[in-house]
Amino acid sequence: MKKKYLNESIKLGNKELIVETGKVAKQADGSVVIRYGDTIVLVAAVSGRTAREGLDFFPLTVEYRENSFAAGRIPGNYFRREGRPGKKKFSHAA
Amino acid sequence: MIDRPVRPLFADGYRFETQIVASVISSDAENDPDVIAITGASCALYLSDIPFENPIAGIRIGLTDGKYLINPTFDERRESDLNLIVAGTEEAICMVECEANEVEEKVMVEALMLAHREIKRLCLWQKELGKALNITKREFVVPELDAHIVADVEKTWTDKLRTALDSTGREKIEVYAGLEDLKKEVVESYPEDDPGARATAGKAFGKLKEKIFREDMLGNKRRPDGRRFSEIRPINCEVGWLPRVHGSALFTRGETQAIVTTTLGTKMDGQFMDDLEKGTVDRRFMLHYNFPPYSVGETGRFGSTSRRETGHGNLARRAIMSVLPEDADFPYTIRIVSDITESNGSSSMATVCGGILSLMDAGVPIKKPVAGVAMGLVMEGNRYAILSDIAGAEDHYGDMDFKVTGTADGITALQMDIKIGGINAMILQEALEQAKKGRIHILDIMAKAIAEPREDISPYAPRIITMQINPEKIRDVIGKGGSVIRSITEETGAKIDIDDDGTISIASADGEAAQAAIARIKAITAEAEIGETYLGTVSRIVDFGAFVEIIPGLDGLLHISEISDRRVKDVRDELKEGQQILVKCIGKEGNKIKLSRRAIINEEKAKASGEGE
Repeated sequence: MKKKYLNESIKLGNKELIVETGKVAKQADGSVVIRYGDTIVLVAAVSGRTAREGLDFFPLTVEYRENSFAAGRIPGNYFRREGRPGKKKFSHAA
Repeated sequence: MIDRPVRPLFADGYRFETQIVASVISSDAENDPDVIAITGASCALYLSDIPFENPIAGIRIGLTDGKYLINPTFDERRESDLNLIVAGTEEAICMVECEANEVEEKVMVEALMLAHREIKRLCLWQKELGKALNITKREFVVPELDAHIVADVEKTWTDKLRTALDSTGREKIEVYAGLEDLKKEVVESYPEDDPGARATAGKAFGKLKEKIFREDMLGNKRRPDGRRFSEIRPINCEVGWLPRVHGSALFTRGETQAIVTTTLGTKMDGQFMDDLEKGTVDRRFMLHYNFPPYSVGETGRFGSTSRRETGHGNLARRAIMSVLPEDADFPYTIRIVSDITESNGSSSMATVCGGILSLMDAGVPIKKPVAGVAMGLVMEGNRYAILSDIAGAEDHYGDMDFKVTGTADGITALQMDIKIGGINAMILQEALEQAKKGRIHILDIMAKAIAEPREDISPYAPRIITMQINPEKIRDVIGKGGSVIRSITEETGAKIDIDDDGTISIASADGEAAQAAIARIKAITAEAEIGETYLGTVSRIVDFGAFVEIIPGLDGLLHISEISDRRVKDVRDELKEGQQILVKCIGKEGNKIKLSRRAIINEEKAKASGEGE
């Protein structure tokens, strides 16, 4: 099924919250680019088609990444890769 | 913060592997991406065929001068007394995370309600977008348990289970073991060759447990351990029991216990962290929470810190942060470690209480003590029960659990997870008021162990003394490539940190070393004051006068006309190098200091003649 394109906004506080879908990450089941001011987050969601048998919990994982490049910075760690999420990010994903 | 509100909105029994990836791809250092990511995650799920039927949204509320702010910027947050993050559906608030500057319960409820109004708008908007995209959801049928077996388990086992659940006067380990045994008995009462029936019986047992728990709570107004709804388990506080530790506490509440310590360090012990907004931030207050498996009678791997441990540590850190002294008043880096040694619920709140006790024991001049209590709510229709200080078992079957920390005057941190809709402002208010009563009860008990921060810090803690110097002199104190500062550190053993504004903090294990270092720095940075008399040493003689060292490393010029009250033909007639003379500072031009000996001679003469008359 081809993903439909949509770009809409709503007033929130004193700014616009803008949601765009159908342009980026189209192979994910769902994905949006959401923008507030100049802060932009890409969120992609995928849910498998075969259930995991014998589990008694919902196998959901959430990854939240604050990329240094987003703020125009090179990461401070030795490898200069976008590193393991710090403390702050852990609690955001939870 | 995405997992917590999203997870309960998937249907019971949904077992399809699901992943949400939120990646901040542009950051303006103004708007925090965290709440945007919550709404974004909901959009990604809702505007797809994934069976996520009820959109959510995330909002942050700030409070400055009595005015609420919706999604305040980082700058606005620095002025704000409240940093409240709320996620919820159109019908209800699902999750609350909050740090606050002693905010009153009433204000908190108002802020929560405002947040929910905005959330509602965003949820309705998402539903419109869904319509515009004409989204159809995958089919998912909630698996039903065999009604016959469920009814059977309920009929046969209710009484036995109710007795097993009653933990009055019994230890948690014993109760849990009894429940395990009973479950085994229930499961094994079904034929071995019918694993399906056995599995169903196991699940039915779990459901029955929840049903009994809720019935007893709402119908019989009875908690499993026989406590009243608002009753806090017995508390015992000990402080200062670890001799070499800068501050220590053992906090025990019921079957939950924590060893909490405070360690004081210098600026160099601070933690540097990458931060999207500000690049790198220097963290002067750390709180680490550890939950070893033995605390619940289990074995396990000691690996890296779990998300749960990090989360609990962060909550406790937020709870305590707003009562810490300002850096300028107490220039130490502070690290609190909480090792949970026994656990039956509310260990993060034990960390907060123990943390405060250990801070006071360490002599950290906190503004006010903080305590925390974990609360629960069970609700059906218009019947509800608000529970104070919930134990492990009560955590599982409630509809809302929330942790409130604060001083006697207001809330400092709040964390809520709500599983149902229909919780209104009135119930929230009542719940927060009951939490406050519990908190004050705990604060009273804590005050009996230690009421005020100790006057002095531990003799084993580093001493930090701060002094202020002229920022232009920083270069002199550091020296070429750090040579001067290094030599002071080597000679005195004191650690020296210099801020750009000229604040110097000197840390050392003993006071004498610190004093020696201070004397050295004072000497380097000393400045001549006009009108002041100095005993100086003639360091160099030139044709037009002499240079006199009045402070080690600081020379002034004694011009030939200022050497004596008589005319001096040759400087060498009056002075020689190495001679000690009294001089007065009569002026400064930039770095040049003008000295006079004549002024002193004249003064002496005037005094002498005055006495003669």
